[in-house]
Amino acid sequence: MNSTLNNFFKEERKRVYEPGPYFAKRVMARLAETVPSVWDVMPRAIRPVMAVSLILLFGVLAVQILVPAESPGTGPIMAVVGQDLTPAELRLFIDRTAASDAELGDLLDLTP
Amino acid sequence: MNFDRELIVRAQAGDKEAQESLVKTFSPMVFRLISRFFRSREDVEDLAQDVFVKMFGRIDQVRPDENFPGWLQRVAVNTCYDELRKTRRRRIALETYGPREVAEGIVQPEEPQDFGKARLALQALDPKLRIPLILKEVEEMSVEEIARTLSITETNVKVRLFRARKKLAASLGDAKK
Repeated sequence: MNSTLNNFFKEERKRVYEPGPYFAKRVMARLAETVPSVWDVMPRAIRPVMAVSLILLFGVLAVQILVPAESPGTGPIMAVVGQDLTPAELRLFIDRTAASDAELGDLLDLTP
Repeated sequence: MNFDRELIVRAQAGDKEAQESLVKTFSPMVFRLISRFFRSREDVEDLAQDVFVKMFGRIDQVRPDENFPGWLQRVAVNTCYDELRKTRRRRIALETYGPREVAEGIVQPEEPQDFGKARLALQALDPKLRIPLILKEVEEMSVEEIARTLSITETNVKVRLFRARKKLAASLGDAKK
């Protein structure tokens, strides 16, 4: 390397700024101003678990919103119990065309 | 560098006094390192503040038995690298689209003409080449220390130093013609 550069680097070694007397106070004031986010408050070890959980949660929510859910014809209990019922009993319990309880009540109302 | 390692443990627990003591202990080192890359006092002070804010943001990663000054040097150099890259991008944009005076560069009147050229040639270097060169020639770090500070291999440091010197010599040679 040529002498100009060597002399230049020697000069550069002398060029150093020193911190002012209130530098530490200014840093502490800036730290006090900084509002930590939820992410900062969380311990570092938990962050990856939290990130995966959030991704899964948003994934499930997205599927729920984007894929229209079909309402089941029967409830979960009838789906299990229904396997042991005869066709006549099924018609009696889950026939949608049958009259509702209120309609049946009206029909059976024998008061004059 | 001698300092009370207990300070780190206390600072990690949120002790403000210990945090302030850490700033006071390490601010001369951080200022010296940033002064190597930036010439205005305001820039140096702003960046030193950024370094300490980052330091406290990541202080829970530090183990008390670890080389804390080395870790802090790494934070400081990375902060300088990010800022130099931003500055370089801004300067290239100004040189391309801005007024003509910016492109010509300004040699400070108090320094010898040769030093002014060397400074401009150094500023024109890519931060990837400029940082190892300054750490080696001005901060007088060994290749091993530079590799550790920049988290790159020693071979990579040697290659970058070689390229930086070659480019610098070429641009100074061009300037003399």
